[in-house]
Amino acid sequence: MIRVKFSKEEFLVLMAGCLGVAMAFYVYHLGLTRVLTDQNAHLNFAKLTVESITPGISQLGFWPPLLHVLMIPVTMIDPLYRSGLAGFVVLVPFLALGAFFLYRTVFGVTNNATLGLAAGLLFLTNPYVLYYAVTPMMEVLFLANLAGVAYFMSAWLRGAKLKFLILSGIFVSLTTISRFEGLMLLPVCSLLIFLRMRQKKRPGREIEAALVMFLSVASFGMFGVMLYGWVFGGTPFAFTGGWWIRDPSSFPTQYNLFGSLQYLLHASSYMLGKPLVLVSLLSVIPLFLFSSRRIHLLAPLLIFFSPFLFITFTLFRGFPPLMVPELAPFDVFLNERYGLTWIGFAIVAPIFFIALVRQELMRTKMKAASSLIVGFLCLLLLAGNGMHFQQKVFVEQFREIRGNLGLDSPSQKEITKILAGEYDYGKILVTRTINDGLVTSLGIPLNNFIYEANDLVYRQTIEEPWFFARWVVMYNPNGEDEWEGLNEPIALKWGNSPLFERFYTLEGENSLRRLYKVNEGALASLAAAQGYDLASIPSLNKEKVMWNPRTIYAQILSSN
Amino acid sequence: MTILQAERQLVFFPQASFPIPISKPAAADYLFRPELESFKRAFYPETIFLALACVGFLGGSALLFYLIFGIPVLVFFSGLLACFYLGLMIFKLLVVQRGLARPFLQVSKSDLEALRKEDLPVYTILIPLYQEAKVIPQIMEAMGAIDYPKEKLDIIITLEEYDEETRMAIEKANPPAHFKILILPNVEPKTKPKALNVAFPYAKGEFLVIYDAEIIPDIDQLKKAYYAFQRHPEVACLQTRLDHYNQNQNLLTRLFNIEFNFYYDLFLPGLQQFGCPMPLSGHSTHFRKSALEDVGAWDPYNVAEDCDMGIALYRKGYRTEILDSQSKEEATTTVSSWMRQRSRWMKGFSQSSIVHMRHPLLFKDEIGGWKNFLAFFLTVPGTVLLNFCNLFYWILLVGWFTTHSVFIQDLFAGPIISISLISAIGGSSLFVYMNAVAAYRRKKYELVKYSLLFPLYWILLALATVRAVVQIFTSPHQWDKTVHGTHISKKV
Repeated sequence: MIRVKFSKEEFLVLMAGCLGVAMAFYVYHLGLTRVLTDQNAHLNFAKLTVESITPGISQLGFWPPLLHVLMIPVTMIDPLYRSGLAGFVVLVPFLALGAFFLYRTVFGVTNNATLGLAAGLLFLTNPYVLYYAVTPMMEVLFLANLAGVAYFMSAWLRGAKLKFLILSGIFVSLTTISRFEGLMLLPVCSLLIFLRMRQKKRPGREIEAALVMFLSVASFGMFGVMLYGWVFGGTPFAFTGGWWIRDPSSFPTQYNLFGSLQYLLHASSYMLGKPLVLVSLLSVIPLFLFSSRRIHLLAPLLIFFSPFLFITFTLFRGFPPLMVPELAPFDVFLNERYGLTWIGFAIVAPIFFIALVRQELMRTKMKAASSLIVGFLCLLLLAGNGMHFQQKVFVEQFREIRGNLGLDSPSQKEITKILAGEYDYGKILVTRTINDGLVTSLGIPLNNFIYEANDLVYRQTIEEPWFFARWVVMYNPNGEDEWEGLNEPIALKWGNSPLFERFYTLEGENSLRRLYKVNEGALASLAAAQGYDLASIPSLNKEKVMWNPRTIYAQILSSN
Repeated sequence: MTILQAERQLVFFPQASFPIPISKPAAADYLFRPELESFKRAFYPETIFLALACVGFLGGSALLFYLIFGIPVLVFFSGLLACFYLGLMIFKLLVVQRGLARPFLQVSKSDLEALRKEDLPVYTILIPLYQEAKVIPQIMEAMGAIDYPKEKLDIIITLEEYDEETRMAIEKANPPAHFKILILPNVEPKTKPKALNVAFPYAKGEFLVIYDAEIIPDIDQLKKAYYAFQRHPEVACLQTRLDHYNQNQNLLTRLFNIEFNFYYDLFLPGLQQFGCPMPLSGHSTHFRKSALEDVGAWDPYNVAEDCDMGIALYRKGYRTEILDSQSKEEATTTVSSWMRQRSRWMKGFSQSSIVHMRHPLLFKDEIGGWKNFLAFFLTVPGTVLLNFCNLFYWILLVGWFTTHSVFIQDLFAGPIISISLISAIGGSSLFVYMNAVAAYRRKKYELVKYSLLFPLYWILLALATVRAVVQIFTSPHQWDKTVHGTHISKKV
């Protein structure tokens, strides 16, 4: 008989791989790999970096870019892009990394492999951790890097080695470019460093030096984001949003701390399960009352709790919105996944509590039974997690996703279907921010789209679209969405415009969208009257796939 | 002390692998090597031919790229420089990564205590001085503090015959008997390596070290060096780790010290670990005298004779290690004195590059193959090229930000901008951080935050290098003397 021995870490990595593959199949079978607007957006950011009419890093967008960068090579494989499984390929290794770091963090603090294993398994068996590990979303990437911060910071607290300080800084940087919740780690980790060094009575200049060493690495990611925003968006704070941000005053959590906490905890109960949320919050009290190693417990707990603090703060500001069915506006989910981001705390707090229980038992006559009791408590946690998994995955089949406001709208799908049937050639002018699903689903090369990030090409096209865009998708100016009516750039410029309708024919319309195709006859008449070179007009020529925006007008006017 | 007048005498090194021509007038300029191995003449026909060949090759390649791919010539060169920057960045990172392991030769206290006084050989200390009256008391104190039997110390101070002020200061200090003052003949070139070469035949020691006027070495350095030489007979040269004693005097001295921390704790050790040739420091480097004889001592025409010596030793197959011992020197405290000193170093780097690359294929064979050739290229001429081009790139950057010029934008077409950004932002950030790491590891915590200002230092480096390149043509052998003793009137 061949016996194969795995270390705990290897076992967790293997489990992550197996669970990831199984979940990918299941989610794909349910048709949920690419249903949310954000999922399509992430895929497009990655692919457009290479396949846009203006490729390059300018297409990465102002969201945290790490996922997009990692997905670039994978989205080049078209089936992975269109199915959304590009996310699975990139994120399952991070699923494994997250479990690995969780194990190491817990083991480092408790010196107990069973507890470490339990922590890793609790992470791997959360239904939404697995869902977001097989779909193109940022959560698992963030959680894995966050676990890395916790591990290296804990290691530094124990050994004060410079390399751990630097590595924790690197992982903080990675979290800030995974999700903006990572920004909270800058003050949190700085505080931990300061407290620890004060505790060790280090001189002020050494504390200062350690903070400089840490912060200069940790803030590098955010510095990159701000530099990118300054270069491509005109402001270092481009990442805070643009015209596509809806008015925060409409959200009930704005300037309402209790409301913000309420919404977040409700969302967390969907993502983590109510029992785990309760147990984790209650565990903190005895940990701080009875444990002697407070800073070694405080560090990972505070690190894992930092996303909770960040989201509470953003909800208090009013954006981004978070919706759960039982609270206003009722019966809908939106961004409920934010409740997943503090799963590290929800796992580690009860695990540390179990470690405390074990420690106390070891001092008593129940020393021999301590392992049994620890094992039993871990199994209890895992069983609870298992029930949550079963409910969400098999019974409800990811109800939170299927009932989500962030799904691609039926009106967009309808226009996509019409366009897919009628598309012949040429560029499609579209506001990509609200039409990512159309771009992903259409099945044509992405360099056939002209959208906001195409800089000069877009600006030229939106001024005189009939020369450059054979197709135009815009918000229906007579439609129901007030916000889109006030903000969608194409509709603002050309909605119900006689000039526009002279050169375009309406090919499809519903309550939110209109699809136009260029009127070749009208454009040809214009060209004849003005002496334009028809062969140079991109919207009329299949061969004219790319052009230089600085010279295209000269070419069009060349026979003049 | 003893005062000697150096005589013009023929010098013949039995160990040298090339003979000094007997017919040559008695080495009037104290050059003991073939002229081709020195910078006595800057540009030989070979050098000019090689330069023209390189220009031709590059120009031809640019033309070819234009004809075949339609890439404009300027864009080609822009791309080439971008690749150079990226390659240099990767090389330095690999070197530093090796250097992080702290591969110094360690000598413990117990090792030193085991040394017997009678076993210690005569050790020569060469101290070339010129206009150093201010620091004479300091150097006397530093030499007096050295833990080595005084009867086995062979200290030779060289002086120009017209440097009365320094001579009087020495006499006033009344050094002990084991000090020798060697008065140099008034001949060109007027450089430190010339002074060393004059003194070299008078050196009695089996081992030799150079100390500059303002140096304060660790008191056990000679014993450590001797021990290391004994334990490692294959080692011909020991480089020590330099430091400054006035590092906190002002921002410039802080940045200078940060540079030293990086260079002597990370970069040189990394080069040594890779088995690559190392440019040495101008003082506190310990030699076996026989190795120096073999290479023909120093090049009196090279104003960075230390860099040249490191390469020359390597070419002859000698090994250099880094000794875990420190010598502290004075950091230049004003921008003007720093600029003069650094221009001299960069001029010396340029001279060393020209000398050693005169016959590139022979050099490649002697240096140990293409890997070491590339390492030399990136370390010595690469440093000059990098600093020189930096100024040009910063001007372009400012120009683009102010004018958004399409011409500048077109120079960085396609992948060139990506490569350039990686080097500029990624590379710069990494090396600023490495400077901080080096300062932190030396426990110079107060300097860590100043590391973030290091890009200002790069600006100075660029300016100094441009000045150096001009001086290669206008005054190739001029030695810009560094003024010492400015720290004495300041509290540090």
